[in-house]
Amino acid sequence: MADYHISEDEDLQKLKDWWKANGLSVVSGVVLGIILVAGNNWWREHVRTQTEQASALWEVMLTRNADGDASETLRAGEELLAGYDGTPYAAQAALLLAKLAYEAGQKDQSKARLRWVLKNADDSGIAHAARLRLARLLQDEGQAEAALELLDDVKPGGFRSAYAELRGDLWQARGDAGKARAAYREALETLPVGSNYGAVIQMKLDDLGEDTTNS
Amino acid sequence: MLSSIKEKAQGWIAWLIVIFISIPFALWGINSYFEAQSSVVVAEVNGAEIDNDSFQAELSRIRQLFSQQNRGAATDELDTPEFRRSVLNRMIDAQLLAQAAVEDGFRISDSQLNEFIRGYAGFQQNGKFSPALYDAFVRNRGFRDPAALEEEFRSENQMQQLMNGFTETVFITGADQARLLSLQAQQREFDWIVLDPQVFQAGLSLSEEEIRAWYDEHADDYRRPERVRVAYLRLSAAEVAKRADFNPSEEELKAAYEASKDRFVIEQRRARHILLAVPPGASEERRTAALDQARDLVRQLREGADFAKLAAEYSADPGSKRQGGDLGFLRRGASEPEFDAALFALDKDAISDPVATRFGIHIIRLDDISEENRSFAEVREELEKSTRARKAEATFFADSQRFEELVYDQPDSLRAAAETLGLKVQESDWIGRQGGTGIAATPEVVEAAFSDDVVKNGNNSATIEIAPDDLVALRLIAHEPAELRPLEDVRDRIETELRTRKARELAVAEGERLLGELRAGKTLAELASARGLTPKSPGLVDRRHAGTDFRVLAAAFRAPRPAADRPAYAGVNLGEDGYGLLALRRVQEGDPAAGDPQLRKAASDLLGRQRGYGQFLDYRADLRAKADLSIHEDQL
Repeated sequence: MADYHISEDEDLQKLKDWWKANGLSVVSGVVLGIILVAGNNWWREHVRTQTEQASALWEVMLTRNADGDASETLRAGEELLAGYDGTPYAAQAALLLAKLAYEAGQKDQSKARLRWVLKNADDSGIAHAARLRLARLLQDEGQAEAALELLDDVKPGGFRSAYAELRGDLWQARGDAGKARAAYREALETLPVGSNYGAVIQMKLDDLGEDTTNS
Repeated sequence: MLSSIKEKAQGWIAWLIVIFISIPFALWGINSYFEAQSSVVVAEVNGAEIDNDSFQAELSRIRQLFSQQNRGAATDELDTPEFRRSVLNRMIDAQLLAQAAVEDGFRISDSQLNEFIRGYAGFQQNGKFSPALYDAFVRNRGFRDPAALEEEFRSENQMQQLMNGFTETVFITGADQARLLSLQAQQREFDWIVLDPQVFQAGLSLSEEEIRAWYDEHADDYRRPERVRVAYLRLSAAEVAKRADFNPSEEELKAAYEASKDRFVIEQRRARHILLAVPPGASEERRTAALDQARDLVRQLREGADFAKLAAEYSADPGSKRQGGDLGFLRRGASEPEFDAALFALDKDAISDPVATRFGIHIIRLDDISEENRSFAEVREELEKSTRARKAEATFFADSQRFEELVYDQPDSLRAAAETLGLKVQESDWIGRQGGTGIAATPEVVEAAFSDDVVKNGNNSATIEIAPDDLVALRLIAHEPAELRPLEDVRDRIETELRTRKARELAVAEGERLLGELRAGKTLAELASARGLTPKSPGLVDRRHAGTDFRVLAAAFRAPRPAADRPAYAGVNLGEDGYGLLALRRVQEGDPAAGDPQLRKAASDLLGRQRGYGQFLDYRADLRAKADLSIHEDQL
């Protein structure tokens, strides 16, 4: 019985000593931990709210665009770009605004939007789409050279067929049937599964005439 | 004193421990401790597993969909490895997109989700959201609870947003559109001839060596497949019923009549009604008003109001209203189905609730019931038929048991069963493994005929039910294994085959030679007339022109552009049809600004949709190329 009391008192004393030495760091560790967790939660909540607001604005853009209401689409798009450029919706909104600008005859504005996407898009897929559209716009303005330059050194990934078709169009416009033919063939060979776009490329390839230089 | 310190110590030590333990829960949630490990994994997509349960569920969902769309067609053809692989591929693509949407930070909010679910067509009933349909959907699609389905919908909508980023933002430039429209509207003018292989058959000689070489190389193609002939017994209820000895005697029929007299009774019911007319297509208000009025009349009648008086006043049935609503005696089935059902459910002298038919709303009163027995003479034929059928059925049942026993107990012959049951042993034609006509049309029969027990052991087969109440048992007469046929048996077929092939080769070789001559300066008209052919000239035609062989048309649109003074020539191998030669004289570029503006807009929109969706597919392919993907082929 006595032993028990002594050992308990000793234990208690040891614990008190330990607490004197380490208590502060334990408490500050726990407090720091709580602050980190709370801060992390707050930050995630903040990002979520931001994203959800951007998501709602994107849906507004789609609806207005489908209704053919360009000015309202533009308004929602600019609000999205101004307030939520950290969300994935910003790049998509800029692509849609580039389309509206082109359709309204504002080619420079359209190019600026596409360049913004190229610079800011986190997702490489969206950047590919922007680059392809920008190059087509340059082609439309008669700047085939600049368009081809834009395609230099690009890692096409899954977009290989689209890039090849575009290069084919650019070479064809410049009158180089051989290079255009090779590009269209590549586009046909690398068409993604499930695509029904092959007929268009085939038509472009056929129009160059059979390659009679080899046979 | 001491104990209070001890309590305090325990108090804050305990709290420390609790805090430390709760940190991981705060960070990762409590769920991860309870989630069960899942079944076999068929694929891993960037670390996320697709387990066999969800794969099987998806397979059966698609089979069901297929079956619904094809009016219950069998889904056996969907059980191929290719099908399973394609379903898995779609699941992988969906998983990749879902992951990409989350990783990029796409987010559907709770209120967007709510709006989506409330607007979802599958959950609408009478234009309103139906919680019952929603719950049923959750159960039928195998979701744990509504929350799981909601997360699925959220994920799908996030993917949709990602996809819309490509498909809804695409635009087609003027240059691009002009090129496409110009190509689509392009027209070409050309002449063409075909070198028919038939012409080359004449004077074609085949050497003995050629025939023999072909035979040696392709003997398998001429192999006669394995086949059997069988002897069989067939016992069917239809045949049994034809036997004469089931004719019942007059006494039997009379006895049967007496025993089942109450079956041959005609019940008729005498009804009155009041009709409140509601024409088809009447408004809902009008229908409701009529119904309210009908309810009021029912109440009055049940309280004792005079039916005849109310009928005269309110009924819209001109034939009966003057007769107090009386319709006379009606047999079952003589009136509108709803009316009929109500009338034959009424007690005598009772008033029905309002009954709606296509004429309007009826109130019915049952006045009287009459039952009339049909005479023996009237039902004699019917009785005879049913008595015969009953006897035949009993006989067939007894015979079929004997049949099965005898065929099984005496496996080395069908004779015992044939003699006992008065059946004839029949013989089949040769049957191949692919089956045939007669009893060989039933796959089970073919399977039995080729079974080891029948072919090797020479036993009777088991009894096979080829149709309900139609039994067959068989034994082998002769079996021929697959065998090569001697050359002489197949010489004709080989010669025909070789002639066709050679003629085709000659046509192609001649065509290619002529193409060379054309390119060297000869004209198509010259070459054609030397062979007694006249070139066809469809004139200036576009890509959709239908009057020309489509392969020749495609070759014409694939040919290089002609020089000013000389046509461009092209040839095309037409396979069985020989070789086509064409002279392209003129290419008329399409005018992108010509034609119906709406059609031009439609063509441009179509190009836009294809481009936009194409870029989304590119994106998906890109995800796949970058993904860390493993498919467990052995689990498929």
